[in-house]
Amino acid sequence: MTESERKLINPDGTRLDGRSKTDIRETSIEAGVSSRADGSALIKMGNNIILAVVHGPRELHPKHLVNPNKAVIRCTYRMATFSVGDRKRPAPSRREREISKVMTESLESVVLTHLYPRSAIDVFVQVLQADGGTRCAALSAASVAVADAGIPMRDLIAGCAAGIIEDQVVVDLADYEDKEGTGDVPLGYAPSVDEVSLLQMDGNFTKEQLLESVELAKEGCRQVYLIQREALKKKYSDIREEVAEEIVEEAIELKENIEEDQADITDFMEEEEEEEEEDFIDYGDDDEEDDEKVVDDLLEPTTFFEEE
Amino acid sequence: MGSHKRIINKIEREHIVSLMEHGKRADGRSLNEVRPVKITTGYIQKAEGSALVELGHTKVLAGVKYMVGEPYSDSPNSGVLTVGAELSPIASPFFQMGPPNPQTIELARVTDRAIRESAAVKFDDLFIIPGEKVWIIFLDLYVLNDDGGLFDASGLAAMAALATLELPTIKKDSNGEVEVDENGKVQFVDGETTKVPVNHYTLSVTSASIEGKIIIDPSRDERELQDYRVTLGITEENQLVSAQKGEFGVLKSGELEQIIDDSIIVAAHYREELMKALE
Repeated sequence: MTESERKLINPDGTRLDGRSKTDIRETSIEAGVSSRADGSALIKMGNNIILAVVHGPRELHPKHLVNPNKAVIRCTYRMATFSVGDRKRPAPSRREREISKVMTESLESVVLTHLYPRSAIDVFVQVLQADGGTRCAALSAASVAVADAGIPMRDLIAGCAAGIIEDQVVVDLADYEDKEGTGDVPLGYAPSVDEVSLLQMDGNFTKEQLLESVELAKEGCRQVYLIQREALKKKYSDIREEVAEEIVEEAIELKENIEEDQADITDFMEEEEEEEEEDFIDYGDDDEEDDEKVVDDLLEPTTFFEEE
Repeated sequence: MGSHKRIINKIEREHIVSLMEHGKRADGRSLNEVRPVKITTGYIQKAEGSALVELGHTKVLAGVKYMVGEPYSDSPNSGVLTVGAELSPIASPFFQMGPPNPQTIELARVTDRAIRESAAVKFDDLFIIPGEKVWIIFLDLYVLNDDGGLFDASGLAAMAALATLELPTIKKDSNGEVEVDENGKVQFVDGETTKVPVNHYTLSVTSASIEGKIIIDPSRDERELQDYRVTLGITEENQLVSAQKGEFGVLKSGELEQIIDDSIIVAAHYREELMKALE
């Protein structure tokens, strides 16, 4: 049996990788991974590995693109040469440019661009390994990166596709399901405000199938959305933990210092007392009379003046 | 368009220079100390060989893909290595999209030269049918975060990716002849791969001179201040196989010797890290 003829759905209704039709692939997102960017996120969705970074808001070059009323968002989607089976040529392809465009438009819908007139928000997405559904995973990572850059947004965009394999609508197609299946609907969706901002489709759908695919993709987006939020929260809870640890360490150090100081003071006072005792004994033994003479002189300053 | 270089202010410059006069550096290192190295091999399963190298905050990802192609006419039995690099805005707010600029090409070529000149991988062995079909190896370097030290990190990533490179096993008939289909396409054994033997573990080590002081593994800030830099390709036998001097400063007598001595020590350290990652 050749690959194109193989069954994509097992007799028990599960897919070849064991997922049900509503399960997305294993997904993890890490926010704030790049030290050089204002915001960044690394997403792993199935075997996809995608890095998104944000530079901005920053000065916009070339100047003729400046919008006096709002920031200009520019999203660039690129694939690494080794991210796919056969080596991809390094120059940007028409496909990459098109995806960059639809991603830009999708992000634009949730970012409060009016807060940054005349500036640029540059989003760069590098697909390091591709496994189907890269534009959706890229969009998920990009919106986490924008949020990580501290740019106000109405919502996060979650990306997820749905499609048809063996006449069944399933969510989040893996690479082989996309290639061997009969249709694919990538969706960019902002779950909290219920807005679809990226919609593409290729394949063969009835009206019912397309609507069902969109609903199922939205369901997938909601699953991604939870992971996106956790990624953003985790970055700050990690920072909080680090800060808390630092504070505890500092407090311990401070306490030790105080204890040391107190010990020093105690030692010092004890030494002083001992010295005083020693001094007293010394005076007692040798110079008692001299001392008394000095004290007497001091008590009678008149003699001093009289001499003068 | 914006400049590739960050403008470094006078206070920062004075800070870095005055620290160096006391044998110290802004990030706490000594003059001949490198940043921590972390190497993750096999990061990209879709590549035939790959490695993610972190040098301090700098990250470089190398991946290898192959093609079966025709050899160059002057070396009909030799495989072909093509090294590419990409310094995209992913890595730094100062990089721009577009075709490779001279800086990118230099990075790719310096990395290429160390591997090629030392025959780190035996390209002579990478033929399939002599004079007709050879392996064409594409080694692509993606800088993911630029915090300086791109030559060293790229050299490590390239070497680690090549050391993990596995090519499909070529199908041979009972006479030992390579099997080809009717279109002349070379046949592979399904699901089987063959490791490409490594000849030398050649690594790049970069030094820089700032106001007469030599430092190893310049950071991003130090890079902006450097008068010149020298990158040396060094094998495990301490053979020097490539050198590249960059920027506008000039070497004074005696400086090269110090650079070589320091670089050899650092190359051994990098190699130790690489070997740990390859275990």
